[in-house]
Amino acid sequence: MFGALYVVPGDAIDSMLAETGARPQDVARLKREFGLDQPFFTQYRTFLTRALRGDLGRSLRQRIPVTTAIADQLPATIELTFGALAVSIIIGLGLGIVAAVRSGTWVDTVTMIVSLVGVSMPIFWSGLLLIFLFSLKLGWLPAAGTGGLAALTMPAFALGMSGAAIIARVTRSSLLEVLGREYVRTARAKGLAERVVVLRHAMSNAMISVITIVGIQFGALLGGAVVVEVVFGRQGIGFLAAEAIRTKDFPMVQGTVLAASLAFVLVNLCVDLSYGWFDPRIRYG
Amino acid sequence: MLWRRALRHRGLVLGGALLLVIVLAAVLAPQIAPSDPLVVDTQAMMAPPGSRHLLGTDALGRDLFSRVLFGGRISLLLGVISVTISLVLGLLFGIAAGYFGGRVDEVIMRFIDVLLAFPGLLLALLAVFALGASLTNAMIAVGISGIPLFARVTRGEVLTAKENLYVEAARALGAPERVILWGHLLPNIIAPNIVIATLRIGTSIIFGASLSFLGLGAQAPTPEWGLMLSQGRGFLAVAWWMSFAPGLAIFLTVMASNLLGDGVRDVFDPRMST
Repeated sequence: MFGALYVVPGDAIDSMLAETGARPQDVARLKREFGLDQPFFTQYRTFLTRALRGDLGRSLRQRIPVTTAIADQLPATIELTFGALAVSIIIGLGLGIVAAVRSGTWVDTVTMIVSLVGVSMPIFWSGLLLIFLFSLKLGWLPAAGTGGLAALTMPAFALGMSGAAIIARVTRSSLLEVLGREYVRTARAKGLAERVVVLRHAMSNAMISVITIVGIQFGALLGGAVVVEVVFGRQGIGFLAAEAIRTKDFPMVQGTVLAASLAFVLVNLCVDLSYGWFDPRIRYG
Repeated sequence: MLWRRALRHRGLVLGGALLLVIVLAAVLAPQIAPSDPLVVDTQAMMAPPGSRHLLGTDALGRDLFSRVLFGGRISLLLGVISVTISLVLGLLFGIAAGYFGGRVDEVIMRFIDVLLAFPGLLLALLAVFALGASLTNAMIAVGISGIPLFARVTRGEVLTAKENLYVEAARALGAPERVILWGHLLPNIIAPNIVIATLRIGTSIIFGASLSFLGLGAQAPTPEWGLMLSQGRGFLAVAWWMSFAPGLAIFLTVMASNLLGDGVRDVFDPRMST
């Protein structure tokens, strides 16, 4: 990541001061102040040493510590991401289970069509459609802003729908495979209610694939959060990252992308560790 | 026999037909479009859909139907080029890692793991930041974000394929490494990659449109769908058609490519079916 940002043609100082017509000596002074005149490995060593102490530098535009800016915006992004994840999981699992249990019927077909629509719809378009319908026409929900369930509903729904579609497909496929197994036939033969057979016996074995997809989808949600925060005018790390990229604010881009990637890696670590809970045959260490 | 199975697959036929219509509309845009997509008409600013302008006009009076048609060329080109970049580079990395193993495999796969640590769209954003905001760089950026997927699949396929007898026979007959790699291994490992490439086109189109929506891809006055949506966002209350038309175009194109991709996967590589 540091290397990718280093090769950017023209750093933030150049683009910032080009607008004001500053003298070359002012540009050189500012570059010295931010350490941008140092060789690549010196800059990287400095960045790494500071990062390990929790110091991600200062924003070249806002002149505030990057960690402060991220800490201010992080709660809004966490709220949005987990809200969208909840939408994805609840709707995705529900659709997938219904499609698997009613496999081959019109319910299955409709469910998969809904899933196809969900995965094909760009987030920024579905967000704008939701704003048009629920804010401008019906006036039920606010079109923009951060804070409160009302302001979270549409962004979480827009962001979560495509994840719901993918989770529905994987749940259906995974559950169909499990429902064909001997022990499920045995459970039915014992006279257990279909609900118990599906939810208690079959789902726990189908969940491995679903949990894997949830982990992967978290990454898609983090990326999609950038777009959703712009569409709905929400505060958040995604909005911060998009602005930092547009203004070539290196430290801010580094900090926000690092924060998002760290969250993605941590979530996938939790996913890996959860396999053992769903399937006792899988144990680590 | 595979082709007969393909023609009986409803999703593949529907997706293929829809995508063909979209591709033809894009290719024949100069003949079909009623006006130049860049021509400004101050007398017809934000005109609603009607007989004179099928999908209405935008804030500068430009015909939206013409801009959607020409935008199709850009989005389809972006999808195909970025997937090609992902496929070619992914194949190169995957084949090198899988065939040579050892240190080469370690270095390449750690690099791929680093790329995988970044969520897809964020990786594309990072690449655009490094390269600069433009349509060409957006294509490259979206292509880079797809490399890990192809590299991992290819490596897995090569690890299996290189143990086959035909590879051992080729080596015994003195065939050079490049002949073994490109003449024997590649044809046997390409099929899953083609399936994934077809499935990946829709994602690439959405990523590319997202970059343009954020102002990091195509720049004004290019008639690119994501950019058109971004321009229409501020006029949603008074001219909803400015956002509806390009969004519908993206949706139909991505849905067609997803249907086609699912069909290709079901017919040519049923192991990957969901």
